[in-house]
Amino acid sequence: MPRRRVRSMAVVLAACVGCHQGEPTSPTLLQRVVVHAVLDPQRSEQVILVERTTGSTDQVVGGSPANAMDPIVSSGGVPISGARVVVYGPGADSCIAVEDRSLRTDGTGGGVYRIPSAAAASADGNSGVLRLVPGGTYHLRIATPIGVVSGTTHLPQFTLTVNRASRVFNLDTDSLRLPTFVGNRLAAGHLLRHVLYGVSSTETLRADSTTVLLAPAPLTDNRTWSFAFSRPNIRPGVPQRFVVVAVDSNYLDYVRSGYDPFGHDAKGNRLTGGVGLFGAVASLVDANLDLVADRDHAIEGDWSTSVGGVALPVSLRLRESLRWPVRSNGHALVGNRAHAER
Amino acid sequence: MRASAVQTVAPSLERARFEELMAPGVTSISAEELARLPVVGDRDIVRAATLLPGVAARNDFSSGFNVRGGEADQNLVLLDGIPIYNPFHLGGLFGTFIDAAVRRVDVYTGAFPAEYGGRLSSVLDVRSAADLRPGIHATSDASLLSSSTRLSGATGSGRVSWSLAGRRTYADHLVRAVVGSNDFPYRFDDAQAHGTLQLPRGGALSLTAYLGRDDLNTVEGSRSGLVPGSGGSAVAFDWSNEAIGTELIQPIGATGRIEQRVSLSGFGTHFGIPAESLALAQQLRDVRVSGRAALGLGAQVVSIGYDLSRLRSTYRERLRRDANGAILAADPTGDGDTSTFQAATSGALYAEDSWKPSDRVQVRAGLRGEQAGGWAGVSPRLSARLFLSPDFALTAAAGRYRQWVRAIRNEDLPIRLFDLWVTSDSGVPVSSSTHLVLGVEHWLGASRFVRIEGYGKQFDRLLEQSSTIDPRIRPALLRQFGGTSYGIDVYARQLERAGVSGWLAYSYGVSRRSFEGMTYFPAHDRRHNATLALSWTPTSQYTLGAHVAVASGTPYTGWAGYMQRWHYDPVTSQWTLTAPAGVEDNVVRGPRNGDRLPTYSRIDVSAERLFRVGRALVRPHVSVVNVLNHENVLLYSLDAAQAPPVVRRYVQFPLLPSIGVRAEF
Repeated sequence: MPRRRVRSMAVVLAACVGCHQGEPTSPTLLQRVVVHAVLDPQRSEQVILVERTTGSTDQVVGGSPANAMDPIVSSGGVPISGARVVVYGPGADSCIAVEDRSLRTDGTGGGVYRIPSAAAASADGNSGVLRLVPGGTYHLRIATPIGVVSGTTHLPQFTLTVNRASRVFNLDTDSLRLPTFVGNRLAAGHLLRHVLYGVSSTETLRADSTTVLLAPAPLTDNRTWSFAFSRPNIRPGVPQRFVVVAVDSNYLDYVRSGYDPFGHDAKGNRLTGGVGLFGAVASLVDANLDLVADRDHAIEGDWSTSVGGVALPVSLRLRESLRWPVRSNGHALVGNRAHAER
Repeated sequence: MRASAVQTVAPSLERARFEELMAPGVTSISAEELARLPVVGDRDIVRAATLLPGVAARNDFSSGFNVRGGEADQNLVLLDGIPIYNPFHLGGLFGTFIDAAVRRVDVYTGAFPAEYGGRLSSVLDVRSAADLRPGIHATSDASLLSSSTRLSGATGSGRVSWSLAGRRTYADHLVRAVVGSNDFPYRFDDAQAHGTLQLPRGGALSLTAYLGRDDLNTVEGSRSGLVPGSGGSAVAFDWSNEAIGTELIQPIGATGRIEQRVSLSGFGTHFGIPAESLALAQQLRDVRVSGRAALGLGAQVVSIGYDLSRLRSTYRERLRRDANGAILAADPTGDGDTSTFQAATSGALYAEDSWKPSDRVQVRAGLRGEQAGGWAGVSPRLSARLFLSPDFALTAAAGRYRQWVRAIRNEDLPIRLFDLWVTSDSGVPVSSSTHLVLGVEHWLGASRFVRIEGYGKQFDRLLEQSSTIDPRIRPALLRQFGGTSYGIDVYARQLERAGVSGWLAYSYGVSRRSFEGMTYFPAHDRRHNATLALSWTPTSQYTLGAHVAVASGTPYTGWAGYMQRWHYDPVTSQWTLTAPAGVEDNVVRGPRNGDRLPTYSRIDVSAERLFRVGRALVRPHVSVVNVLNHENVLLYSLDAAQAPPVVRRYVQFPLLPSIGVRAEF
């Protein structure tokens, strides 16, 4: 529930039941371990961030860390160095993470632990490398001076190779679908991202998802395929990127959980002994599509201006599509001006 | 007449319970004893029950109660055999049932017999008062917060007795008149009716009806008609209970008896924040038919019975949407508006044998077969009592209990906001508990006894919402957990009489719950709880009452400071920091219920004087709650917006004087 609603309810109920407020005091804070780790088979090493809770809100910020080599300290966090960080795989394998700080002489990298990893079909293989197996269960255990944290994640099913090659995609006839998996450990949710021009992007994280990502669906049906949330931005004539990442329930809950004033631990926490996230993700689709569409109206095609004007370009490429509408402000050419200029 | 009632009423009840009932942990409170307890606002039979051993209320504002470590929805509340689903009014100021219309209440705190089912922890069996005096009689109560009147009487032959009672609060008007603002936008009215027709051969046909409607509303045009609330703080919240039932009791021969009941019980609630387009509503209807036949066969009494229930509930959620129809952030599940309809039929057959093989030994064995939806099970019950002397007995009892209709809520929320009832189905399991009770009871004369009982309870497949404040029900978001409770209850009671009467109750209890490998104390776990309830009638005109309560603090979740929330982008493989929407987003709490509130203590006193005015008895009374003005903490709240952050403390009842008067004629 949103904060305002919680406050409204609390104020009204407090007034009604007649409880009154005492003098404020300083909280007695219990230091806890904060862990962030997300297993990703697309990476050759897994990063585990280990820090401790802070006593004030001064350090609470957003954005990229000021120093990528020392992310925790440069963001105002308090790293925990010297922790024993172990990830246990689905077989008898386990890997110990090494802290960046121990490999450097400048003292940076405190609280940043890494484990070399590889996507693999089975858990058997070289020691020293964490083998990330589709559907595998992984346990994390971190021993620190202020407590032991443990967590479990289930890596969603995924294919070992993801096709990232560019290809032409006809919006009027082609479909893009998720690979289908059977068995256990399917994804708890999917992160869908649509990247336009390689710059701007829109995304959604959802627990329910159809296997159809793009399809020549009727204009009025926005539930037929999953990327409908970005429909106004999906235009023919422009290369675009469509990414689908499977996420486990820990990742999903951590991102989506709301604030609970009488809850425990932290928002979306599934760790034991500490707070944070130990999740898993796996890319399922990473498609760079050169979007095209059938021409079916006389107005479509290349046009050049017969009368010069300051507001009009010399040449235009016009497309008309009921399936891929672009919102207009009421002036001709404005809506498709970007297309026309390419 | 009050003066004569002082002599003896309760002793026969309690002594009969000791000699005949063969169930442990049963306590009876008569209306007369209830009338002597110090009160604030109205007398409350439910809150009086929380003064008994093994029964505890979370705080002053909670009318709900926890019995021997059980959750608050595990208590079966019956009014003349009719289940009442949400028998509470807000804030602990008002009684649930109209005091004058209640004759007695029996509280079963554990290992209750086979005739009771459907709840895991306790039974609160409230019985309506019948007035056998010819003519029309009235009892009226008036206090600063409410007024109630009961009219009762019987026909000249005594064949028909009847009782009609109603109550209306006016605390909202009082607060507005004194403070000048709508700081107490709450009112309720309720009514109780009871009638009995005596049948030939000792039989009786009775009818009971109850109606209660509560309205907490700051919205203009609401039922309360109060001043509208401001902007987003406007809340519309109402709930109601309706019940009507009839009971036929007919003796068969010298040792037989047949009971038959038909009842309809309903509960409805609406909650809305109009400014946020949020609306939640539940309607529940329970049609129940039950019966029991008992036959004495020498040293044995054999009884069989049944319960049939058809429960229908509808739950609707309307959530806020933006202009395009998309669910806003208020709904993180993205499910949108939801309507849930449940129609469940449940049934139970039970058989019980109460056997007295000798004057020293009593055994009560029962078997209860239950069915709910697609689930079926058998719940055995067994209790035995060994009399080492006519006044000294050892008791042992055990039983298995099931619950398929439950209120879904998270008990970590200190003030009970909602009770939304759901029934078990393919996605919601039937909860169960196992009780073991060992006790000893010693009577020290005709009106005084001491009872000590130890208990152990095992809970399986309990359910709670994962959030403490989100009232929406999503089976996928329910936590299934289990746990244990054990402890010891000590109860020393001086039955009602002239002079001093009352009881001393002490409970030691330990409750633990476990969920996915995490073990914690539930929010109602109270290690020590001592209560002294006394009344003194130095003369027939005066009654003085006192209530002393001392209890260790209940658990709450503390704070561990703040954390940076890192976000992993699986597309770019980058870690970035999540910009907080508010400082609360980065708050880290401690382990669940890892801290405890300070010790609770409260002393209440009351005094009553009896006047005779013509044929009427008039009893003005004055009460003072929390005479020492001890600041009992209700909850702590972290104000993260302050630098440095501070913890604010919200306390329970301060010193509260109240006056009132009762008139009877």
